[in-house]
Amino acid sequence: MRPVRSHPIHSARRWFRDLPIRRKLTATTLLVSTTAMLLTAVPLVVGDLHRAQRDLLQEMRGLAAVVALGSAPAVAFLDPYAATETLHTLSADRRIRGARLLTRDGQVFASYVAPGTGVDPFRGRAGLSGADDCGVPRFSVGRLFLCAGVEVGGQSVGSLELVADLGFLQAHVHRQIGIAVGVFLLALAVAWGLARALGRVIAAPVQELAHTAATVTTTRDYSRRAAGEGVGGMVARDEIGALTTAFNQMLEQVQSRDWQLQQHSERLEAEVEARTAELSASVEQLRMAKSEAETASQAKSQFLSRMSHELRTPMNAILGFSQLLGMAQDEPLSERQKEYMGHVTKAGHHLLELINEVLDLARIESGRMTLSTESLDVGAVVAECLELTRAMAGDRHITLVDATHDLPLTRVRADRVRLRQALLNLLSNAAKYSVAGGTVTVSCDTDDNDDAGDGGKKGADVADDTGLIMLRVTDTGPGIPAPLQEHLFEPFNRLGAEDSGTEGTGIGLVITLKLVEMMRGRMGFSSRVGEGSQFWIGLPRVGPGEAQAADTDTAVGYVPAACKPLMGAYTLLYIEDNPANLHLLQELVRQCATESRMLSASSAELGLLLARSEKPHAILMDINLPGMDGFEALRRLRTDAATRSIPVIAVSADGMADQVQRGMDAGFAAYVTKPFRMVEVLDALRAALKVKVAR
Amino acid sequence: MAQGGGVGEYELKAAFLYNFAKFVEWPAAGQQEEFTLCVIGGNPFGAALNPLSSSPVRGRAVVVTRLSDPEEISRCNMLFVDALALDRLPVILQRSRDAHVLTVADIDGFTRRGGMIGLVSEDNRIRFDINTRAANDAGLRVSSRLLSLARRVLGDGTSGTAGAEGVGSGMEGNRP
Ligand SMILES: Nc1ncnc2c1ncn2[C@@H]1O[C@H](COP(=O)(O)OP(=O)(O)O)[C@@H](O)[C@H]1O
Ligand SMILES: [Mg+2]
Repeated sequence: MRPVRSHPIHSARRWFRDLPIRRKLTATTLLVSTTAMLLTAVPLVVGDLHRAQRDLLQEMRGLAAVVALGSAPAVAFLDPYAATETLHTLSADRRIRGARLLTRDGQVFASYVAPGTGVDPFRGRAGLSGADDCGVPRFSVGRLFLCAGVEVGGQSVGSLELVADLGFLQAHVHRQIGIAVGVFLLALAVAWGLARALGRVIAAPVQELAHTAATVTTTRDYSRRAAGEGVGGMVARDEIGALTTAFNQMLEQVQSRDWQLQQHSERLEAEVEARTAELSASVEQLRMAKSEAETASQAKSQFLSRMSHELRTPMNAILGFSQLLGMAQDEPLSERQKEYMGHVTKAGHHLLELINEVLDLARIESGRMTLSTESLDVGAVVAECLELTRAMAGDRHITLVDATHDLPLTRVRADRVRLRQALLNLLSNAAKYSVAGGTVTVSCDTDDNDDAGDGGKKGADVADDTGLIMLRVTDTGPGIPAPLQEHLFEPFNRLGAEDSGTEGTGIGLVITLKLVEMMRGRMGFSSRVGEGSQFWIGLPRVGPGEAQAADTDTAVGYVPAACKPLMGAYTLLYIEDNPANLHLLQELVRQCATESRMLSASSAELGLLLARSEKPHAILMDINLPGMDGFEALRRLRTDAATRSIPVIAVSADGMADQVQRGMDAGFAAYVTKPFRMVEVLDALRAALKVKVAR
Repeated sequence: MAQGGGVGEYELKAAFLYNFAKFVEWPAAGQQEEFTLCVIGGNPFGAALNPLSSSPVRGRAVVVTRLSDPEEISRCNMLFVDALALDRLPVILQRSRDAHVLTVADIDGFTRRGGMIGLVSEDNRIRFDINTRAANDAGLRVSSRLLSLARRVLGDGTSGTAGAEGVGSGMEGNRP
């Protein structure tokens, strides 16, 4: 056993607690067996010592009695020789160290000292015991002192004193202790061996368990099992066996869970992978579909655009030469021819309008339509549009009412040309589809009191920071039946109007909505059959801070009621692809240059053709024309001797200074920016014609 | 050695007398209440015998009596014969033998003349001779332990308890 250190109890206990279980078992066994052996051996040894002592005492007493008896006559008759002789018989017992006989009065009468005894064993004890107080035997250092009375006939005659050596007794005790220690050591060895053997039985499964648990913990290998003990790895049927079995079962469960979990996660992973693949495949498909659709849409738009352009060129020619036919002074047409001519021109204009609208739509859808927004006065735009609609409305006996007259100055952020296009579209629709004698009213308000959730169409990017200004066009027409309303903004769907004989294309509203959306506005309508319809456009309002940036010319963009007339009969040519601008300028000429006539061409090619054949006094040229642009057209005019001297006035929406400079450098007589200031146009014309006249 | 000091010769001899009584056996018949020690002749002991009467011998009280007439011997158990009675020795021994009386004396040649125990002074010590034949004749048995201490043992071979005088003389050489 290990020596227990002199620590406090609890440290020894801790030491024991931390011992490996096998050591613990060994220690316990050894401790228990040691205790048992000590408890057995100590009383045995002590008892044996006691018994040996008692036996010795008894023996010595007997011996003393015999010697006393034998020496009694010698003492009685004072014969020291005989007495000494008797005492010498004690030499037979080697334990006796010495003996002496004393007379009654305590005189030493005879004595015997065993050979080999160095010192007189009675030294210092002479005369000590009188014959009468010779009683208690005394054990002294290694010696036994014993006394016996010497009697004759019942009468004491003296005493015998005996000294016995206890050395043999000590030797006996030592031998006993030696045997005990030997037995003890042997027993310990056996116990140790047994403890080890048994310890293996008990500790080995526990160690195996602990080892397995540790291995499982570190390697996470749940397929490991704690092995059983002994033959065939059978698990014992004791508590530890139960523990091992339970542990193994636990491991099995953990393993199966682990396996399931792994299966599950693998399945999940596979599923995720599959889904991801599917997803990316479908995304790819979608992308392909989208790009296909885009390609298709672009192809369609391109086709439409090209077709329209191709159609427009001959259309312009038809219209141009129809005009020339009608205006030819030297070969006047007959009344019948004039009527037919009117039909041709009207149909041509319709066709041209259709082509232009398709072109616009194609341009919008292909994203090639660009707008330039600015701060516009709503009242001016409304007045301008009403003016342009007036002729058509008058034909149909429709009254136009401008309800925006009394409003304070209201400005919106929009593209002037496109806003006008949108508003004109609504006005022409209202006039076209109203019954004769009806009224069309244009009103304006802010969207604060716009309570109509009436199927409003909204721009994708509606500006709502400053609110919208609502322009409403209300008619007293037949209204649109509810089931048809959802098809209102479908391209080329005229909701059955194509059978009514009313001219139209079915894409006006679509273009209007697109334009409004591009201007970050909203569009909507409400309609009741038999009562009429209201179409409205909401456009971002311009904040008060921006108002001053706007131009101050309130008479811009529409034909003033009174103008300084352009005197003289001139022939003018306006090369312009935008019908609205064309329309506007035609009105200007009709009102302010009553003696002059104006030709129009919607492309540069047609313009050049007309210029060569008609030799107009002045040409108004749009810079941004489809196909050949204004600069190229001017260059051609200048290279042709017939047209070289005709003054050409540039008309462009591009008012940038460098662009204006570029125009003047190219040789334009003047550079007028759109939207038109009519006075400016007239002044420019006047100046150009004066130069021409002066020349 | 033990005789040194203030202990007188006859005090020792008195103790001897007393001790002799313990190593001799008397015939069982005719024994009295008391143990009677008789002294015949003079009285060399003086008062030395008196202490003897206080301690019993074989359970019997000791009575010390002085005799003048040998006819009175039959009363005694032990008889000390003083030198003054030497002239009547044969009668005394005769009567003693008949009455089973142990005879002790410190007369020279006492045992040779038919006495039983003779006290002798030798080397400043008191020793004794024993005539076993005389004792046997008187019906007394002397303990062998007493015989072993005797300086000389006299007696016939038939007694079995002691050798003849010659044998006894032979023994004398063994004794210091
Ligand atoms: N104010 C209105 N009142 C009644 N019907 C209308 C009105 N505005 C438009 N519509 C109907 O909506 C259709 C589509 O109009 P639009 O896109 O402008 O094409 P279009 O005027 O060329 O026919 C018209 O054909 C007509 O049937
Ligand atoms: Mg329309």
